[in-house]
Amino acid sequence: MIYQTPREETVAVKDVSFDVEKGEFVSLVGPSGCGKSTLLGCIAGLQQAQKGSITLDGKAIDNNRHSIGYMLQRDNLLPWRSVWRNVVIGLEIQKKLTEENTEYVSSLLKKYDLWQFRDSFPNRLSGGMRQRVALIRTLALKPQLLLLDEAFSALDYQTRVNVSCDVWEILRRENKTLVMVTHDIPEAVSMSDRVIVLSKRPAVVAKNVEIDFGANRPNPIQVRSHPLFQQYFNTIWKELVQ
Amino acid sequence: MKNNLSYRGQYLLAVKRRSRRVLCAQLSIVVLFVAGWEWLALAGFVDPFIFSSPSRIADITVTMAQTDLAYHILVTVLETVIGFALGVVLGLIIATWLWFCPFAGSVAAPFLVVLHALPKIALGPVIIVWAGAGMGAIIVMAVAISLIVTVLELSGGFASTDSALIATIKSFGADKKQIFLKVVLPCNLPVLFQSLKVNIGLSLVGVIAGEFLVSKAGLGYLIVYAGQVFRMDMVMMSVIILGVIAFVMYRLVGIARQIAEKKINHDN
Repeated sequence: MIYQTPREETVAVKDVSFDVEKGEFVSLVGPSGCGKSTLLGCIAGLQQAQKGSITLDGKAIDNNRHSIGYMLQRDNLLPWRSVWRNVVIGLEIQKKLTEENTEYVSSLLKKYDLWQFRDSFPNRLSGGMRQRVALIRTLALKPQLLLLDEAFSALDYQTRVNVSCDVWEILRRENKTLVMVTHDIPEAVSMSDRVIVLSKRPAVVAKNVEIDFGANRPNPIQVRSHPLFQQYFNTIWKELVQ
Repeated sequence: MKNNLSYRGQYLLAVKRRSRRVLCAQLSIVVLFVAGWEWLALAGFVDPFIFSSPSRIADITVTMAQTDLAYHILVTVLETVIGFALGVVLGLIIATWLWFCPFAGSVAAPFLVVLHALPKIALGPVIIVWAGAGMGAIIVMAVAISLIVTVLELSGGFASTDSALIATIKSFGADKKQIFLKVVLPCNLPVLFQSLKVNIGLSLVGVIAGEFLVSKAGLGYLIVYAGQVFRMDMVMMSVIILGVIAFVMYRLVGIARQIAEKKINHDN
């Protein structure tokens, strides 16, 4: 992926190749400005890479865009819409406001304790709740693959740990596949099955770190006190500072 | 606590009291100003022939109200409303077009800046030749003055719409029209109404300037006529009526804004 501006061109991502299994949670970490977000943007189809291919279920990503949900740094809820009208906006845009789909959205809101706030406006909600609303807005379109781009970095520490745990549990329960970008190593370790460490720009894959906390994996809050947690942190940290 | 009002009740009472105090202060300014003016004129400190006085203005208003004052007001209001509406609608259409077609936006930018800086009144003679010496020319003048500002403000607002919101909507597969209707327009409602408020003043400037140049009726016509025959009370009366017209239009825009905001919370 090469960015062109009249003054110069910047090679953001050069040689990155990886596979993600269905249901797997993968984090991309790397030094800031290494092209993590660009990579995610390419997978989401918001940017076009000059070379290379991205496939989902064996099909080119361009024909498969609706199976991907993309969440950015802030919750980006529309402040003039109520919670309900925010979560259905994706369905509205794709003209899929069917009874079945709205039923599904209602069930998500109920399941994740937001049903009583469906008529509230986003400014009445806490940061964590807003992030959950944003997640449900994405889930409403039933994507197989979710892309999170520093989705929690705008939240304060406590909220972000809680929200990342919420999101992890929701995505596990809904059987989604996750690719996320973060600069927060504990967050990456606590949420993923695998952490891909990228090098400085232009990004290449520096290391694949499998995160294994056993078959009955504790949630991202509990896992932070697991004996192996610090070990994984150190491995990734060492890789990043090289 | 002495009274048995709840915290909330006390707060609401305080809010109410404050707005009442503001209104009182505003009314007393008007009363003091009018009374002071009348007193200065009566006591001979200012020459009522040059500065007029409230009682003279009231006199002429009553006299003229029995003849053709309503007609003059109607003409000016009509011209202003038509000029205002055309300026806003055309401005919105052009700004929307410039947003949908960024190439046109880049091409238009320097022209818009020049047109904005240009004193449109200088075009007065040209407009009269084009549109004829009558109401048409006056409305064109009002549009000419308000249109460019509207286009500039709106397209500036459209261009600076939060790009993260647009990216989010785009990730759901929104096309350009959906992006505009669901994000850009609702986001810019405050900008739109701000420019509506500015436009009230600008279309009045255009209408009065137009009436100065060509007209057989309207408040601008009255002002020119009265100035020529040294009837300052008639000039002042017209100016005060213009003030009232502007105030009423501001209020109407305020109400329209509330309605639009409520609507957007339900439809968009």
